[in-house]
Amino acid sequence: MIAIWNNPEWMRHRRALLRPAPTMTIVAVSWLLCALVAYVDGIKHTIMNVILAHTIILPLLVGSTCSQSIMHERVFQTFDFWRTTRLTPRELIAGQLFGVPLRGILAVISTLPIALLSIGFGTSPLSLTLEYLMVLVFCVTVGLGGLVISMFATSFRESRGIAWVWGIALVLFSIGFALADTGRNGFWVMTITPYPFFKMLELAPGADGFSLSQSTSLFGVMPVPSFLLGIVLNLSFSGWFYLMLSRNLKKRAG
Amino acid sequence: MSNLVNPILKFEAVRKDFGQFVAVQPLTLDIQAGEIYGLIGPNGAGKTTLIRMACGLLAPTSGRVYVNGIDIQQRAEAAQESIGYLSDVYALYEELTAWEYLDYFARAYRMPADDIPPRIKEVIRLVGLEVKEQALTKGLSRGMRQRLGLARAILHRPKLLLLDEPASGLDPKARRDLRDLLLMLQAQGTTIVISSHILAELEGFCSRFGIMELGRLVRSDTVSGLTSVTGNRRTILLRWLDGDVERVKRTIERSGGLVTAEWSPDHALCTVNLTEDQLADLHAGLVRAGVRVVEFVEKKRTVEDLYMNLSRHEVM
Repeated sequence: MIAIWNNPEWMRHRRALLRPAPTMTIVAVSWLLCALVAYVDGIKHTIMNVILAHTIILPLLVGSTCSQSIMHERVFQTFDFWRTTRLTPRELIAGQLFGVPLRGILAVISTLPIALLSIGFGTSPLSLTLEYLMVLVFCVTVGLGGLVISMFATSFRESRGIAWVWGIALVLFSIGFALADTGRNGFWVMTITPYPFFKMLELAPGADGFSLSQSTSLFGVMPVPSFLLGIVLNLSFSGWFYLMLSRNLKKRAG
Repeated sequence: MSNLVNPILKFEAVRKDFGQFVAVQPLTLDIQAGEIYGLIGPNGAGKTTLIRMACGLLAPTSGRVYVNGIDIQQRAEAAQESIGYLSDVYALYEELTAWEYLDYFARAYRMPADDIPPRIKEVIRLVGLEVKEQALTKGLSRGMRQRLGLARAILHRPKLLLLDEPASGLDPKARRDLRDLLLMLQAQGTTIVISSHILAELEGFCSRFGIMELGRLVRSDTVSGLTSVTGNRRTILLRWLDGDVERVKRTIERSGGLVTAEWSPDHALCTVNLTEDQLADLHAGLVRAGVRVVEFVEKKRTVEDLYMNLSRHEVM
């Protein structure tokens, strides 16, 4: 498999979405917003808000953009291009997954140094790494799910509708978790999202990384490491979505 | 067509149904390497369906399609290496420049990295888009979009070029340029299958024609082969001076070959069924009868005339 930066599909999105003017605008607006929040709330709160924004906004952006992308190719009749070139389904999926939400990814990467400042306020590097690892795997799951929606939807309206349902479900998920107060004994399925991990990070900023990695959720009556459960759930769903995509993306119409 | 030995594209009893609707009825056709094959027929005749099956975008309901000897149903990607396809819609990636658009496809076709920039330059020059190389494709005119699509289709030097209505929407100069480009590609050994419902677009440069109607391949032959079917039927434009139209009528009717005629006081357009010898006798007879003939021209039979004679004029 070719490296993502040499993947033609990813390069196409990079060229289309990250021209100098929009790139500079995204970086400037992201920093401006952080500066405004810092001015109002102080640096410590800003750092946690940035991590929270990454945790919530990036999956939503990935999900919403991916849930339109293949439908977009079909509506604008560029879908046939994929099926007459030698790009493999794996390359197309990777190119779409990491290419379509590039502007959101850029906004996160450009403000990542602010999140790293949390280490200076006592957050353990391992906890922060685990949190962002969960954000990444969750984004992959949501992105692949979005691509599945956009492949099987029959119209923009339908894919947009399904994406909205997804988005609202995610928000409700987050609210549900917030009401449950902690992920330690929370509804086990919630560990598929990175929000329980963010909550733990927020509630115990000084805890070492192992306490986050060893926190448990109840799977039935059995306590299971939350992080492990989250990874397994995400891999299961991503794997399922990936199979659906790879088997159908270059399939000829019957 | 079974005597052709080296078909680069072979349809073997191919049929395509969409539900109850039969888009292509069982069709067998060989297209030999180096040909320019014109696929003509009205809208809805099944041309696009046939081309989409040839490039592996549609699976036939029954039958087989072979490209360069490879069964496209079994090994689509291997077969598609030999194919350049231009669809009848002007779809492009709107946010890319013309150069970036071609670069994307060069990489997607797995062209060697060193070969990509010079090849892009070459095809951009071939289609005459040098001045738009760095322009976003969304700003290109219809004709330019079509030319960029063609550049994309020939970028990876395919052996077989499948063009679905490539000239529709092009101005006369662009059509002539397209024709010159296709002839040049043919000279380089590329086989071209080109469809159109505007018959004049294909006339003069196709080696063979296939006439499709209602999903059937009504006939597939060279222009001379198609002409022979229509026998000695010819259209004559006749013009005379100071004339007596009745005398002209009588003389032509006496020839025995008159089929139809449109009469005017000083000219006529007649369809006759006469050999070349009989035609010469008719001309002499008109002169002998005192008709002052100033024009006696056999109107060249166009592919359109042949099509009108051969097709069954069924409408979808």
